[in-house]
Amino acid sequence: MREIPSAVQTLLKSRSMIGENKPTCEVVIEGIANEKVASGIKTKVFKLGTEPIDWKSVDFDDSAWVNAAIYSNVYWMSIPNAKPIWHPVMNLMETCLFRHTFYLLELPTNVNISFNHDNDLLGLYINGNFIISQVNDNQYPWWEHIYTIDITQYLQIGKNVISAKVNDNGTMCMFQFALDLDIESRIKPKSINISRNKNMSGSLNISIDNKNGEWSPDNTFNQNVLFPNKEVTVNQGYGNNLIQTFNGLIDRIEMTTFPQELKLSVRDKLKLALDQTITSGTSHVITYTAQTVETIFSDLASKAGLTTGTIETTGITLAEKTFSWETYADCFQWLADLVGFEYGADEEGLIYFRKESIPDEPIVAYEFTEGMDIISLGYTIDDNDIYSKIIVYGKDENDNVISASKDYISKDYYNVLSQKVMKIDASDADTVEKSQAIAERAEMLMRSRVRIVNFAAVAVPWLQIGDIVRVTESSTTISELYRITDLSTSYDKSGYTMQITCYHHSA
Amino acid sequence: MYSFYIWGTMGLLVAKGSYNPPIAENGITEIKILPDTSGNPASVLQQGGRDRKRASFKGYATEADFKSLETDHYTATERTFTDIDNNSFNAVIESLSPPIKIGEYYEYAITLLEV
Repeated sequence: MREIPSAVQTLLKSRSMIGENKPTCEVVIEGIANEKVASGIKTKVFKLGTEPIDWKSVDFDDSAWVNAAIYSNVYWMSIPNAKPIWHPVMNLMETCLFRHTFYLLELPTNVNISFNHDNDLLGLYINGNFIISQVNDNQYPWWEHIYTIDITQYLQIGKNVISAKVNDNGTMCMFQFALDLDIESRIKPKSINISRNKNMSGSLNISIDNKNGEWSPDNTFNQNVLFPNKEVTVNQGYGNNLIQTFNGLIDRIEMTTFPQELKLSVRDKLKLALDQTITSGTSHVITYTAQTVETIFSDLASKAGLTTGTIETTGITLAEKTFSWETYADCFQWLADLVGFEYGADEEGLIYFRKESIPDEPIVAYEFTEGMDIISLGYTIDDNDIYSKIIVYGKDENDNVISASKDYISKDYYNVLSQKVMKIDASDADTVEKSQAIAERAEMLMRSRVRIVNFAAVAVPWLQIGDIVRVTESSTTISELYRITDLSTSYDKSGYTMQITCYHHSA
Repeated sequence: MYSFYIWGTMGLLVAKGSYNPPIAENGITEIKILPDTSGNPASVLQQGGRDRKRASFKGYATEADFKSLETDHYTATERTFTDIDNNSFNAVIESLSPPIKIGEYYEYAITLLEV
């Protein structure tokens, strides 16, 4: 749950989001200069053995270099927006090469680079042009020395590369830099639609003004700037109160001629798990021995290139498990089913693996009220997917049938027919405990199917899947708590609104 | 001839009482919401940003000047428009009506759109 600032809560109840409080958004696309140009994980780094030819040039292929590792000591973060970086496998007394690529759509005026380094800077280059070297003058503490140089004349429209060679002479090879670019974002979104569903990858669709093909991937200036698997981040809110609502990777770029418009289809970071086959070295078969489920999940997430957020403890250790030629998402699903967990990627691109549970003492994230922020509301009670009992059948290691069952907690309240039973064949469940976990997860899912409310409301971008909201209105004679399962927002000239699907939690 | 209305460097003759100075919509949308019993407005206002300014008038011009306006219209040429009150903005000709020939002059209606 993300806490909604009190000023925003007041605004949302005011019926008026105009002037300085009007709906606002930021769209940040990987590689475009409205992103901060600064050292960080997107800087490529190479530990020097033999110095590659032309490594300083704009067109050098650094795809084989690794992403820099960030040293997260806040005292060393002495340059705004920058992170101190090094090679992820660092030894003492080594020399590293750094390359950071960014794109400019226009030439800014008076751009300075601020930097520091530990220890010797053997050369700083902008687009292959030598700028400066500094040897034996970087006194401890190195992060308190910030050097600033005007590099305006070396920049160009299109692709630009900052490269540096840093040598360590005793501790660790560290480099940190940032450009004080002040370029207004030229991305002009016409509409932003975000859709999130429980247990599915979130999606983002953006329409962008593309006058004269400005953003077309084949445009010389912006060549491949908007391209599959480039990272997109969206921040939305009201006035200056923005919160991140999406982080993902581009699936598709669609251009139309009239109107001159470009549409981006983006999926959240789960794309990395859904689209990629498990890989370890050159093999696509991975075996884990005596590992906990959460350790396996974390390792697979790391191999997929995902950054993990909340990873909860499962308490289950697998003696041996082999995954073979599956996608990472298939493996995640198998692990989740085994322990009754859920997984997904959140608004900030972090992957979570947590117990699928309904909180007993809910914290209300937001209260929707008729006459203030509810546009329309529909309410359904349906026993179509409701069963009186769930029985799970598995097989133990000797091929003997084992079973577990779970009664639906509200079968009497909802008058469920007593012989309406769901049978689940779970061949992977080789213990009674695993069978029981599957039965309990299925029962938990059933709770979210019987009493559904769909409503449209003024957008509250702080809300997330799984949040509890209170809905206060009179037509259904209810004023109750609901848990969000589907959530989509629509942002364009006609307003910023959201569609929510919830299930009943409690009165 | 001196004119109080200038399109680029061309003086324009504007029919008296026909000039609408530049103005734009403010982009406010009214979203209907479920009403309550309080009597408060049952809608939410959200602003999507203002639209482009438009100025319009009826004018008359020689054939040569009208042809020049016609060319600017087809090519969406951007020029600075200045009115009698010294309001000034960069615009293109969004619409230009079929002219009516009256003696030596062409009479027309025009709308300028802020760019």
